[in-house]
Amino acid sequence: MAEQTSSRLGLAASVAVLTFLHFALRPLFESWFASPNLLLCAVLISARQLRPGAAAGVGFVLGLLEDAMAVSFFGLATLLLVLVAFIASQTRELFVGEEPLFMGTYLFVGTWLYETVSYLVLGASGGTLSFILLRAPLDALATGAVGYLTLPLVRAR
Amino acid sequence: MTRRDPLLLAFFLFAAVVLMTLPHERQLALAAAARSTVLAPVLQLQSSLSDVRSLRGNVQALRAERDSLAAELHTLQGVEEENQRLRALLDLAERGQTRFAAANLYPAGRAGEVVKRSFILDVGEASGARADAPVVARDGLVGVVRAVSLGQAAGDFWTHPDFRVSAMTGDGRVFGIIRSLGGAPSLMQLDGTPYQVELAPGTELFTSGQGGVFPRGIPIGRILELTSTEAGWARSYLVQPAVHPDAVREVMVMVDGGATADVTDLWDRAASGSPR
Repeated sequence: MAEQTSSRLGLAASVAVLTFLHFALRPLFESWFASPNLLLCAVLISARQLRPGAAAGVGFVLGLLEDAMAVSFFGLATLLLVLVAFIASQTRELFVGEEPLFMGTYLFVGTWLYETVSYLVLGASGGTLSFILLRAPLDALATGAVGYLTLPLVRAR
Repeated sequence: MTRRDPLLLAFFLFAAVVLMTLPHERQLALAAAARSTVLAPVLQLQSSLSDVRSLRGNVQALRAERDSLAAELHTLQGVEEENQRLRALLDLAERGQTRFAAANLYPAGRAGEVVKRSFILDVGEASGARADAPVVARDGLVGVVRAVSLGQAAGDFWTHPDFRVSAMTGDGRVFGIIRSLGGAPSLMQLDGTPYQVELAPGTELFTSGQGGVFPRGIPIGRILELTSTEAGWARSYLVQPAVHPDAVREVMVMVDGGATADVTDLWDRAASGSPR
């Protein structure tokens, strides 16, 4: 029981820190060639520890914060993050354990899919292929790297 | 997965859809509430970090400028005194300072967004900013304020899909509507200009003052090329914008005067090198 509480606290702290850094460091990340999506990283990592319903709740809250930062397309990030969190949580039943290779691939695929769907829904014209095949994978790689470094914090007991 | 999980998913999805379909004013109010409470410390830090980065980059340039400015100071002291006397005489000081509020602009991007469409300003109601206030930079039109809280405002760049502005040529003879073309590089399109007149590439476009939001005379961009003619009654042009969202950080928000003002002279004076 105490171990579970400690694990939840570690997870909550990780999500809070990643969320804080996501918004605070956004101007810095935007000037980089590949920018990690720390908010999505928080959603994906928490989804591996939570039941699908709870993960969707985390996705809802963090998505609402993301939407609050941009006036346009309000609610889009909330909707996408709820879906991502729920689907990501389902992977617990397919893949057991948190091997570094699996977690890296999981974060990479999750971020890539999220950014691609978000890009397509936003309806930006031009440069679609370069975004999907270059920009989004680079962002996904950066997110995977950050998530990999964050895992020890989540596992802290 | 328990039976409760799909129900929770349905609830959160429903709530997200409700958020998306709320009236725009409600969405803005929700976003403003989140920014002024949960996100306030983060925005404060973001603003500080941005300032630190900007200051660090400017230190070298400022040192060089300081040396040359020190030499000029002696010469300018007399001019400065004369300037102050004349401004007080003509009451320009009051008019010039209350018309605009200087602000730092922070683009508000989201995943998958190549071209920035929205921004946050570090001025709010306390500085006189209001919804629908035009936002301008030295080179011209940046966008418009959409929502205001006490110390903060959120707005849309001209790149936003919903953004429209009535435009005219410098001589005030040709009018049309400017909208963003979307995508990158960021370009505009001028629609609805008369078929009888063909605008030459390089023609400057300004806000016309029509529409009740933007005052007359703010530079918007320059004509690049003719893109289409509509059934022999109107022409459309590709427009090179005066301001690119990625390149602007310091802006001015119009706090009074509103859409009825004519600000043409501000940019005329800037172009001729006079102080604004």
